[in-house]
Amino acid sequence: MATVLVKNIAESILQLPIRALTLHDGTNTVTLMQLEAESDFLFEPIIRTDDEGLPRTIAYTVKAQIFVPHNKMEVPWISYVNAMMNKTVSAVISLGAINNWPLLPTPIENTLTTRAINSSPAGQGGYIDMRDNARITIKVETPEKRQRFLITVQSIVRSIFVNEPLSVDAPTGGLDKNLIRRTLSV
Amino acid sequence: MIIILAYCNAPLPDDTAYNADFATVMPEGAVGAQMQFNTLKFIPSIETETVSGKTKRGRNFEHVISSDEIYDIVITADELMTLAKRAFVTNFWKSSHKYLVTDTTTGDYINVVSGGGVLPMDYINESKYLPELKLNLKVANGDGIS
Repeated sequence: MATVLVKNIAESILQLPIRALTLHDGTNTVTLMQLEAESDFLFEPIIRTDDEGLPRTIAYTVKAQIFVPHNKMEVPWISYVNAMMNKTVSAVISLGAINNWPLLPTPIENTLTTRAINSSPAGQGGYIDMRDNARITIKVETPEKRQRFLITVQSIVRSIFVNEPLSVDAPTGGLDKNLIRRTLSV
Repeated sequence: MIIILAYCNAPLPDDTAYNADFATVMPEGAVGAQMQFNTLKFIPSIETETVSGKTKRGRNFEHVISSDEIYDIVITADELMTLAKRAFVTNFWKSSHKYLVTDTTTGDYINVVSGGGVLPMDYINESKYLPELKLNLKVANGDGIS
């Protein structure tokens, strides 16, 4: 199970696994699941100072590294993802508990993220919406003589959506979704 | 600070009170729109036009011909993420009748002028996904010689 690594924001808030990466270039859609545990993402706030001298986060720069085992990448997908390299594409990173996150619907359309977030029965889920402004690169790695793909996704996003309390063990004794939205959304 | 920007293809009557439904305050048959923005910066100021010189007795003088309220406004990327808002600011810039509301409780539509020119949009980190609009609006009904 991949674990999200969050930089600059309390790590206890976002210990969610990366469940899937969906890519769409206007023609083809690829939803990658069963990712390797090293998959993670970092995000950094882009901050401006307002007229009261206080910082205001206006967006986040997101960089995700998704590791896909070679045998989980179907043949047509490789050519699809290769064709998306260095182009501006849509991407959604789905976050959630590994056992309660059903397959994401395809193709990626307006309903995708809504359906994704509503489809998590336990409510522990979220997504990073990088629609129409993601850049990806892909390369093949062979750690320990096994082959895998490394897909790097970069984007600027306004929000990272999380729909429910992430952990009842959080220091506050449970985080309500408004708190989380305030923390992560701009 | 929360402000409302509005534009219309016909002038609103003076001292028109803010209404959340802009269609009800526009002149009949007019076309326009209004939209709310949470500004990054909203700095009111005063600009004056003066005539100054020196008398033959050596006294410096300055006569204020007029004074205008001006507003330095910055609307940054988090408020301009949607295509609808970017389209609105474009139409606002192109409109001859621009209005500003600074108080949505008891305020009026303040007729403002922009001075024209290129839409003053900057892009943070040179990214088209992070637009930032820098407006310098002047109140249309300034104070003349008193």
